[in-house]
Amino acid sequence: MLASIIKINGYNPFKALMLREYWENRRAIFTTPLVITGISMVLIIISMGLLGRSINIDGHSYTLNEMIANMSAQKAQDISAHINHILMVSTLPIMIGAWFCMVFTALGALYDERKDNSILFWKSMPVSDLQTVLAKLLNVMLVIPFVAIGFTVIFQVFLLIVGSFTTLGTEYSAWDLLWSSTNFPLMVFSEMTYMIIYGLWALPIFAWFMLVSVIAKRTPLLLATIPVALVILFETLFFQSEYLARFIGMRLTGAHIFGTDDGFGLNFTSLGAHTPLDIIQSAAQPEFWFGLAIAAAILYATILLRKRNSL
Amino acid sequence: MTNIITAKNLNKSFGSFQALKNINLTIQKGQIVGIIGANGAGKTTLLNSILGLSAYDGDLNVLGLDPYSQRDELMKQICFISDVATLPKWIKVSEAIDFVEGVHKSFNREKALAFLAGTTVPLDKKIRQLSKGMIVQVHLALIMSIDAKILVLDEPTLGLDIIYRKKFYHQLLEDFFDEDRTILITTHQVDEIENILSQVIFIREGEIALEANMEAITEDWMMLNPTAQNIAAARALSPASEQTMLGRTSFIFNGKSRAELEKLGDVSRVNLSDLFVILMEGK
Repeated sequence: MLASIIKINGYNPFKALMLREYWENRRAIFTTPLVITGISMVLIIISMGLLGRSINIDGHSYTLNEMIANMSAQKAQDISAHINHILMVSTLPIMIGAWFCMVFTALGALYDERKDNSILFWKSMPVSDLQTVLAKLLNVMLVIPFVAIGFTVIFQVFLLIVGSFTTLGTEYSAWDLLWSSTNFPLMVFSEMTYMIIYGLWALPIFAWFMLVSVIAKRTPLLLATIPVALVILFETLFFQSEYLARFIGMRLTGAHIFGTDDGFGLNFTSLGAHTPLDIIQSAAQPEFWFGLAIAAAILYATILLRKRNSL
Repeated sequence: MTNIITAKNLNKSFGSFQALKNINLTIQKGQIVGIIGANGAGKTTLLNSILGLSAYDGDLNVLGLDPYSQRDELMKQICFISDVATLPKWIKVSEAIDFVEGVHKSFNREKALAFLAGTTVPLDKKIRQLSKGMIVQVHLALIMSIDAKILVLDEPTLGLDIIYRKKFYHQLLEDFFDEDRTILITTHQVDEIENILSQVIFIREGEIALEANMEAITEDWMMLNPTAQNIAAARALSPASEQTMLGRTSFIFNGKSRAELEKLGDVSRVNLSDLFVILMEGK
C-alpha cells in the first residue's frame, strides 16, 4: 500500500509535488521522528528496565510497580485520565523534534531551490507558483506533524508493552489497567486535531518563515529572527508594550488553544485532558481569524515573490 | 507558416541598465533558431522573458499565451534546459522521472527509460553522484520525452567535452526535432550548431543586430579570398571586414552579387563566428 502511495502513475501534479517534498525533506519528515522514537525507547529500556530508576510524575516519584499499584487503587475513569496524560506527555520529545523540523523546513522551503539553482528546473515544469507554495506549506504544516504523530503512536504502544511487562507476576491485569483504559483512536484524533488547530494559530509565523525563505539572500534563520527581535526591542523600549512578542509567543506555543492566557510556555499538566472539541473551540476566538488573514496576506506576497525571483 | 513567438517593443531593465531595447521578433514553427551574442548582450534575458521567468515591458506572445502571467500553462508546451546545474542535487534519477511524469500530461516514461538505457546513467543514483555529462543526459532524457512544441536551450552544453556536445546535438536532431517543433538555442560554441540552424538572431547590447534565416545569410554574406593582384580591387568594393592571416587576405562582403566577387577570387560562405565578430564590432 505504501508503495502505491509513493509511486507516480501518470499525471497527478498534486501527488508529484507532495512526493517532491518528501524526497527533498526525508530527514525532517521521517528520519528525525524515527531517531527520536528509537532513542526514547532505548533510554526507557535502559533507565527503567536495566537501572530500575523511578519516574517522576506530577511531583511524585514512583517505581513502575508502585505506580501500577497506586493506579489500580483508583477509579477506572481516573486511571484512564492518568494513562492518557502519561501517554500524551510521552509524545513531547517527538513532537518538539517535529516542531523544529517544521520551522527549518519552512525556512528552507523556497531558499534551497534558489541556492542550488534548481528553481530553473522546477520552473520549467507546468506547475504554478501557487501550487508550489501550497504544496510546501502543506508539507510543513501537515505532513511533518502527522508523520510524527504516527511515530508517537508507535512509542505509546511501546510504553504500554513495557508497562504490561511490569504487571507480569503481579495480581494486576495489564489489560484492565493499561490497554482497556487507553482509547487510541480518540488519542490520535486529538493529537491530529491539536496539530491542525495549532498549525492554523501559528500559520502567520510559519507564513513569515516561508516569506523569508523566498527573499533571503543567505541564512534565512537570521533574517527571520533578527529584524523581529529588533522590532520587539523597539516596541518594549519606546512604547512599553509587548504586542508583537505576545502575538508570536502565544501562537508558537499554542497558548490560545487551551485558553491559558498567561502567555509563553506549554501547559504540560493539561495535556491529554482536552477533547478534540475543546481544541476546535479555540477557533471561535477572533484572534484566530485575524491570524489567518495575516497569514493569507503573507502567503500571497510569498507566491508573488516566487513568481518574480527566478534566481 | 505559423508564428509561435511574437515580440513587439519588448523592453526589460534592471535598474538603470536596459537589458532589452525594443526587441521586435517573430519566430515560426519548425525552425531551429540560434540566438547569438556576446556575454551580457541580453540572450538569457530574452529567453527568460519568453519562458515567463521574468517580467518585461511590451507585447510578448508565445503559443498564444502571455508568458509571465501564464507560465504554468505555457510550460505544458515548452521545455527548457537553462544550464546543466539546474537539476536538484538531492533527487534520484528515478525520482526525477516520476516527478516529470506526475506534472506533465504529455510525458512518455518509456521513451525516457529507453533513452537512458542507451547511456551509463544509473537510475537509483542521486544527481550529485553523477558526472556532468550524465546530468545533461538525464535532463535531456526528461526533456525529449515530453511532447513539447518549443524547446529552449540556454548554453546546454556548457562545461561538456566535445564528445558529449556532438552527441547532444545529434540526439537533439534525431530524437526530438521535427517540423512541428521549434528549438531556440544560445551557445558560445557557434561553430558546432551552425549547420543545424535554420534561423539566427544576433543580439548586441540588448538590440537585435541581425535576424535572418540561414539561406538569406548565405546569399547576403560572402567571403572572398582574392588573388594577390585583386586585393586592392576587392578593398575598393567596401567590404564589411578585412582579415589577413598567414599572408592571405580575405574579405567579407554584405549584399554583393556572387558573380561580381567571383571575378576577383574564390568565394565561400561566411561562417557564423566570423559574422558574429563583424556584427559585434558594430559595423
